[in-house]
Amino acid sequence: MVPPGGKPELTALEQLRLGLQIMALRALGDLEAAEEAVQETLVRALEALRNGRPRDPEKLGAFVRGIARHVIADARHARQRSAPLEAVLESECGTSLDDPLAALVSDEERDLVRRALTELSAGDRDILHLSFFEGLTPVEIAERLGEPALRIRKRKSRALRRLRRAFSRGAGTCHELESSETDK
Amino acid sequence: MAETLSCDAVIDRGLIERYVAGTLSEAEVQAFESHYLTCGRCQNELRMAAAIRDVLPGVQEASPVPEISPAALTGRWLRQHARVGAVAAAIAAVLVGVLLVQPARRESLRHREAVPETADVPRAEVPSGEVRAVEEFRWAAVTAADLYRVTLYDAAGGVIWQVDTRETRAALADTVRLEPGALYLWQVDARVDWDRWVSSELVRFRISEP
Repeated sequence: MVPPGGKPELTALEQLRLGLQIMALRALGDLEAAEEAVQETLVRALEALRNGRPRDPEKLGAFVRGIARHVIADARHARQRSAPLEAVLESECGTSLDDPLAALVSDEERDLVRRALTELSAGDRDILHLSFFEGLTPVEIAERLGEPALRIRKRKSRALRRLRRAFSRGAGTCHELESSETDK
Repeated sequence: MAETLSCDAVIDRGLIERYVAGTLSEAEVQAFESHYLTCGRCQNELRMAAAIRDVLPGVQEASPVPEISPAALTGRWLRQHARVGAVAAAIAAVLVGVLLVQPARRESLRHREAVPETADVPRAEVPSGEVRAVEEFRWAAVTAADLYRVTLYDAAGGVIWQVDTRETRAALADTVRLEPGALYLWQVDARVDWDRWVSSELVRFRISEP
């Protein structure tokens, strides 16, 4: 973390750290490899910032994302060169059952979400499953379940509101998000 | 150039769910990643999505949706009132001439509503059984309830009358005429959260014939 009074470009980059962790973890599926990719990205981004890039601060996200994609691609190539073929195939095909992003969730947050999910109706849990595992939109879910799309949208929103309420009670135990909030 | 997103657009388009499920197009991934890198709110939503994906399958396995036979859910009324699973089961039993619903089945259907076992539910008290006349409905209060909804059904499951009240009694509307000898059913729902209702058992009563 950047100490109070640190340089502004470092502060700006530190605020990207969690987002970069999410991106790298999702792409690489491994916490250690993701941390290395994040660090490498931040070092390259810092160098670019000191050279006056990007010129538009509003483009910082897209700019750093571009760096991260290169770093992640390099990490993948390096792994392909050294890892056993089975491991490479598994990571490329996404056959692992574990969601790598779960590494960014604390046990307390997990318990809070579990409790909130238990209190939802089975139908609402089904809607969440279709959303978060199959990536279906409310319209697609409505078609599958034979219900009006508006009703599905409302049920999903309501369920997510409850989950958010529960999750926010545990926020900060693992990541101090609130202090780095850059909500738009 | 990646599309510029707002948090509202992310939520509206379900980008978080589709991102973790891996169903976004490359252009959408590019736009969304560019957005969430500098957005604490969306980062938090992504972590919550990860938590959901981590624990939801286990919760679903622990609480499987019970099978409900088509016979138990026959009829438009039952489809319209599927929210109240226990009532639907009881009404269905009346319709097929089974006056006593098997306790195990009732429990199974009630579980579908995910009402906590410890939930305080309203208890419909009056009228019940054979009565001379019905002027009002009364029930036992529910601690957390801020609103009650009384529903009166005929023997075929049709809704005859419904009223909302904050009291634990409701006078039957003058416009409702109950026929002597006919079977009626009623129940009371209690609102215990802004969108959460718990239901009483379905109670049968009959107006005695003169």
